[in-house]
Amino acid sequence: MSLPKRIIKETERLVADPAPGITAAPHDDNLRYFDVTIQGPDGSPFQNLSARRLSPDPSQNYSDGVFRLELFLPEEYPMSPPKVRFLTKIYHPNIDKLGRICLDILKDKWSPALQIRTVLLSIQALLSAPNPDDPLATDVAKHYKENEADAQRVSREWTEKYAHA
Amino acid sequence: MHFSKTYSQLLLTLPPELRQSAIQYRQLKKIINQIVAELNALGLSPDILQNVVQPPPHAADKGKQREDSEQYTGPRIIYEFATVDDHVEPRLRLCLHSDDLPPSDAPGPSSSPLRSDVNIVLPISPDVIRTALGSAVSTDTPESSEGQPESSDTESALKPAESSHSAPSGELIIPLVSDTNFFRTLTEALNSLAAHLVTKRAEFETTLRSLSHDISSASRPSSSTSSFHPYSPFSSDPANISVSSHALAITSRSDLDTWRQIFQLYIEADIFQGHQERFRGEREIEDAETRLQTFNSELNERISKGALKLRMKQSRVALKTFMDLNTFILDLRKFQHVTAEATRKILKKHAKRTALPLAPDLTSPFIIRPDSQDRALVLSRSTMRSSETLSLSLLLVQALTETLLPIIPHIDDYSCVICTSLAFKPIRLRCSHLFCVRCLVKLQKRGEEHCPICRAPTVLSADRSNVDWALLNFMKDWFPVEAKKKLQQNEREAAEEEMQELGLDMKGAAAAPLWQDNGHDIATLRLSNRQQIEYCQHMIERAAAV
Repeated sequence: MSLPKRIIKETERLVADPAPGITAAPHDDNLRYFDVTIQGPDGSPFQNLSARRLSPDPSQNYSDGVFRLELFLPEEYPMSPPKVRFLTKIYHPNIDKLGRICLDILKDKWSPALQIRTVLLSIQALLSAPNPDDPLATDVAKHYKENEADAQRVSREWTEKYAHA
Repeated sequence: MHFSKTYSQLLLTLPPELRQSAIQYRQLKKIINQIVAELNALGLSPDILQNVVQPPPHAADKGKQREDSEQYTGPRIIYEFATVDDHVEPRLRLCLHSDDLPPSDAPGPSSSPLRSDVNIVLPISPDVIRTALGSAVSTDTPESSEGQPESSDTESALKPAESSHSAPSGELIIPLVSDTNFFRTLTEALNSLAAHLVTKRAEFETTLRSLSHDISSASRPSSSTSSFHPYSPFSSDPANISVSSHALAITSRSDLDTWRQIFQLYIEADIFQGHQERFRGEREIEDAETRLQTFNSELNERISKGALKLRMKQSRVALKTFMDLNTFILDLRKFQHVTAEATRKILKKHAKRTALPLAPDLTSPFIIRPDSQDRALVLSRSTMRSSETLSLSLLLVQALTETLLPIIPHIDDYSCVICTSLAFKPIRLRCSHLFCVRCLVKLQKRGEEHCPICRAPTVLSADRSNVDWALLNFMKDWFPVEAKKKLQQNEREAAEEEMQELGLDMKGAAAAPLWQDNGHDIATLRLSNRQQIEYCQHMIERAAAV
């Protein structure tokens, strides 16, 4: 099955003009399968501060403190949503141990007007705004609800430990 | 390499008409030598001046200056610019203070760490100053006539006994003839350059207007011919819409598709300004030059391969003009850069060689102030922020893109967000959002109720009354090639889908022509389940008939 024009266009733009803090590159042997990196947003517990401290040049830090994800476009895409999963371990109430993401636009709120780019931006935004009221990782969500500061500390620890380029 | 050499080499790469209006760096350099000679004759050699001269006062630091002047006494020299008639006249103002300081105290240590000129001995030969005074056309300061200049340090042929304590301070103004010549030459050069640029800009805009006209008439849509028949909801069945193959015959009398490709390449080349997430704004000259070359060679390659056909002579001429305008913008940017550099360097050289303070910035003739028609050059520090001004080259780039690109409708403005192809045949939902019929049918088949853009529940209620006829005609008119292609693709895809729904595999594409049933999707739009089953049976029968 040849690749639909839409996927080709989206891929071209992702590679040529990536969104800030996000990269997505398709596999050579499967153009529907993408390696993705998302930089933890500034000011969130998912920003890798230790990496930032190491280098005084801010531009050097761009590739530090990043989360790796995989993204797959099913046959029905864009009628059905892409499948996205975190590969890097992350302590977040809406992301479980297997890296699965609880995000409405990846499920029932998917719209074919959304794109890979907008999905990845939404995931990046989810890192800035965890939503413990709609949890996927119930223990993490409980932690966030009971003691947010401590939960954020753990998130930061995990980020420093796992989120490297 | 000396700058004057680099400068003349750079100018050689520019068209002669620009080169002729360039500022004369070598000539200005010679005038600097004359200034130095003149100052030397006054006894003000650079190493003396270095210690005593103050920059011309500015509004911004006037207060500070006054404060300073209270802190010390003694002679100082102020380098200032007087506006005489239509030009500026740089001159030296000697301020001679005596105040309460007894002459013997004068050579003592500096009382103010901020000013190196405090209590500096002024070894100006009185004769020279006399001469200077004599030669001064008119010393327009009242003090200079009333109080004879008086120095606490110089041994005092200049100090008439009667004024020695009665006039606490005296001023002496020394006009600098060569220096006046220098600034006159420089401002005149910049003024004539500014005038030249105004002419070039007007020429550019005239050429652009006629180019815009030429491209418009070379890329007329098919409705400009008699063979174009618009559809209407009263006379047409949406299921029977086709884009006639005479679209091709029509395009042979129009370079519409060619110009669309040229502009698309031009947009992608993003020559003078970046429009990407990671880079926005005016590009470096070298970068722009490479991009323009790449664009040019890409165009030529396509033309020589026959992928890009300029059928009309008018188009070939227009393309040449288009390239010339772009080259002109690039040359102008180079010229702007080199002129700014030459101006900066010559002023720096002026300051260094004469030890006079650095003259204030000259307003660049390339900077267009949006709110001011007056482009006259003033010797003033430019207070304009770069955001308020626009360089001429950027202004021309904007004129070029804003005039030419909209001539040809861009497919991105008429494409379906779901499949990203031309939204043909266009279906306008009640929420006013637009999709191609193919994607809309797919949404309906999935039972999707919500508009993909605004989530309003408008999808399932769409039927053939939602065909946007005006837009359909517009697309057929302006996108004949794309519309035809999309229609074929829709039909093929719909047919494949039908076969899959029937459990048949359509791998053998040989069967495809059979399914080219125009308006296939319109036919399935809003059919009941029962109708769908019947429709499928009809299709099976047709398939079986092969």
